[in-house]
Amino acid sequence: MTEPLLEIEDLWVEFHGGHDRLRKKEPFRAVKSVHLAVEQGEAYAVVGESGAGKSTLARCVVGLQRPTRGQMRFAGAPLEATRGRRERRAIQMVFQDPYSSLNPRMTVGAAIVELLRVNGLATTKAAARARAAELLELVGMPATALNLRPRAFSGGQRQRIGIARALAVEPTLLVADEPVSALDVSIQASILVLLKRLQQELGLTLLFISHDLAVVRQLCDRVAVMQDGEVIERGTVSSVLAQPRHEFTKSLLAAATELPPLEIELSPAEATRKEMQ
Amino acid sequence: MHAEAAPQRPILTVSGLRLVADARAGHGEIELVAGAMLHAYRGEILGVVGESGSGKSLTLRAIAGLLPPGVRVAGGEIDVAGIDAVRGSAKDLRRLNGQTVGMVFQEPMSALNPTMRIGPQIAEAAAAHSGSTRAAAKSRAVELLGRMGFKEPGRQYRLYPHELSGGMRQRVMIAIALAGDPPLLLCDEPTTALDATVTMRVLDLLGDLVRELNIGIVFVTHDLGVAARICNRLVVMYAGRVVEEGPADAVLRRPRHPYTLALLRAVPTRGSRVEDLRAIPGAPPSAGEQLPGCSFAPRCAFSLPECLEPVPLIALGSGRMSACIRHELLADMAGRARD
Amino acid sequence: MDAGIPPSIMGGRLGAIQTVGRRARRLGGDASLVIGVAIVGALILLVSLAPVLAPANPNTQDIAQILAPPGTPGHLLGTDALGRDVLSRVLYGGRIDLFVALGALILPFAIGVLVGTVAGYRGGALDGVLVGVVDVVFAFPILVLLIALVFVLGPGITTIVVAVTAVDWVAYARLTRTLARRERAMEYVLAARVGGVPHWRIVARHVLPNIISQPVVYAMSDAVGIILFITTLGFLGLGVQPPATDWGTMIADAQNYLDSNWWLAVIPGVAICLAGLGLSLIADGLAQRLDAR
Repeated sequence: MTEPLLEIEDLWVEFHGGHDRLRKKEPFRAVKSVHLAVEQGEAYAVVGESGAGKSTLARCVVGLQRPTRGQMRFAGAPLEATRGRRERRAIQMVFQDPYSSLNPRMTVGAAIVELLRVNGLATTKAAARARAAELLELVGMPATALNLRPRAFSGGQRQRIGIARALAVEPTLLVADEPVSALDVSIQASILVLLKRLQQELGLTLLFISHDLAVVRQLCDRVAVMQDGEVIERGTVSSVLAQPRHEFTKSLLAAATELPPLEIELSPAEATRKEMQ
Repeated sequence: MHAEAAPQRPILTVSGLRLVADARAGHGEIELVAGAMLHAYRGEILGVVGESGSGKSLTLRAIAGLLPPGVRVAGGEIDVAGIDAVRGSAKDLRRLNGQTVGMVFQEPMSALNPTMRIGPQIAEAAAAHSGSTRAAAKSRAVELLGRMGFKEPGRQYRLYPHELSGGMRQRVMIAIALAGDPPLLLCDEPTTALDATVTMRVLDLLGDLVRELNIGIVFVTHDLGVAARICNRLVVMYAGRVVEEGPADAVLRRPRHPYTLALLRAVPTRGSRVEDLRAIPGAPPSAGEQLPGCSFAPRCAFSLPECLEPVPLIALGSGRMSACIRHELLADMAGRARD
Repeated sequence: MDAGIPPSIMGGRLGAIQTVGRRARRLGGDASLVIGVAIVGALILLVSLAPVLAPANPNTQDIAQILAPPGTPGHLLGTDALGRDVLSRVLYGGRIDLFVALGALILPFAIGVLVGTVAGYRGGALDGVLVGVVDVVFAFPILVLLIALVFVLGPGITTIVVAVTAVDWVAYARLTRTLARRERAMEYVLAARVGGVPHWRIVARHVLPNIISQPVVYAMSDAVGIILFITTLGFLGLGVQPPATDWGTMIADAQNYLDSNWWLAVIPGVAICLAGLGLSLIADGLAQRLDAR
């Protein structure tokens, strides 16, 4: 049995808020004793409400946050907070806010080229630009985007660019922190479909952070539910969502809004007209 | 769970509403909302759904008289409980705020004064509209807090907004909106910034209030699931126009406009998988890109050359309306599903 | 595939409203900016061409023609108590005041922005030290500190530059520190970190370009203060020493003649006001453009 791609053991993240006049403030525990294992090639979701610690956990995984205690292992080797180039390239992140995840003063091409050059993945500027164009195509954006600044694009397009940027260094694990929460409903679908396709085509492992159970149900194989910094339940998406055991998971499911079933039957001709994947 | 709809005169009538952004150097007037139409009744929750750029928030703000600078009403009528909100006198419009219309915003932290305790903020709203004494305003505030689900309203009267959770702050905002006892409550994405479990409780509260106080609510949201949960009727907006209207359940199960259908098919539901999701190709027209006919036509799977002509809202019977000349086709598709 | 890229600069209706507001502010800002640049540009041009435009040597004394009023042939703006041509003195004095001011601005700007950016981005001990230093300097009455420095180091241009730099850099450091702190939490900075971009490059390409505009606006306002400081020193006799001229010393010399030959004080005074006005308008215009963006 192969070992998991990512293992997290007894992870704690504490933030010290400083001192009150009379006594030292209690540290805020954002992540408490989290154990997690993500298998190669799977889509693993971490769900919870705001403040549950899932973003903090995600940042530990990509190296933006130093854990207070605990171990992480990637492909069997220990994963420290400060990383070597290979480890850093292997784990990349897609961010939540399409309006602040791209440098407004840099063209899309420059941003991707920078990553390629800095990581030694392209030696000449021309080669870098060519590769950047390929990456954009991979996410469904035309090469003409290279010369434009982020403000020329909509939220959904910016997220695609963000995904292309994350893929530039050829990671094996992609951490997506609420990648569709800030997008319109009709655009969310296209990003989710894109992520699924990329996962299959590139053999990516996906760590998907979300508060939206419906999305998680669509995209992911296994899930961990977090509340107040702890993982309170974990398992396959189908079992956890169908038979939740913890009270909080039950309340999350009960709170998930449901649409009534759509009673529209499209004939095959109508269904395929102007469809988009 | 839905509040009972009561057949009566509407508490709010909006018809033919046109909102424009003023002309400036570089461009002429931009039409932001073109001919919006809605009716809201007491005892009922009307949902206005749409994505960003649909004009739903602006329409709500126009009703409340809170349009941002540079945007004005260029045509149409807004009638709130007999008051003409577009051409009314200053005195009438003052009555509009708080006494006839209460508004609940999306971000409770920026709508509440962080340096004032919550009790006095509600009392202030109560006093402004009934001209009552301080003691009377305070007791009304305490009463409202109790009704909003605060377990110790007398003590919690003295809390500051930052001492409350997001859901509780939102309830305070609802209390402020209701302090003047208005028959109409306007809600602009009130649960968008809240967690799912908290959202449920706030929605339940709103449903209870509609029943207990017999008020009407206009609820703007981009979240179809939330709309499904509490709204009696739905209005769907796209690119500044109303494209569909009808009883919530009917619109969500058997939409009669291709945009509504496309939107519903793009949303993950219990049974579907990622592969089943159908994103809508293209993008909405940006403000200023006025199309002569149906705004959705370029992205529509059912469009015909006739769609380039202006399309009015067509009454379909049983309270349903659609701005699509192909609504019958959609009705057929629903019929087929049942067979 | 998306059906092309609609360059939606106004992504949607709300975007349209924002654009309208933006344009209004930009127009107002543009007016200030244009007028400000015109004024300052004209002043700089005139004083640069002092050797060409000045009718006489600013230090040549002509006892026969003392206190001549403006309009006297050969002396467009008159002469002072020692018969020196006022126009020439204004032009040459302007060279000192304007150039020293702008020069004395560059060092604090460069040092302050650099230190502030690095401290704000890195945080930690460096940042703690910077905040302490800033607090201390800000607690001092600046003008007193500056004048004390000038006393210690002796009057002159170098002293002025050193004194201003020593005290002024702190304002830029504080401003850029706050901006850099905010910037380092931006997701595109985080993305660059995760992508392996070295810190120096992040600061140079991602942080600095996005925060530089505010310090630049501040610098324009600061320039006004520096010009006033230099002319005040000149007035007190602590600035540039004779035979060099500056507007401040001209006003000091004219103190005794306010009743009789008021123009001797007013003309350099107007020059100072014009310079200050022009720079303030530039600052205002830039700030409005920034705000509008």
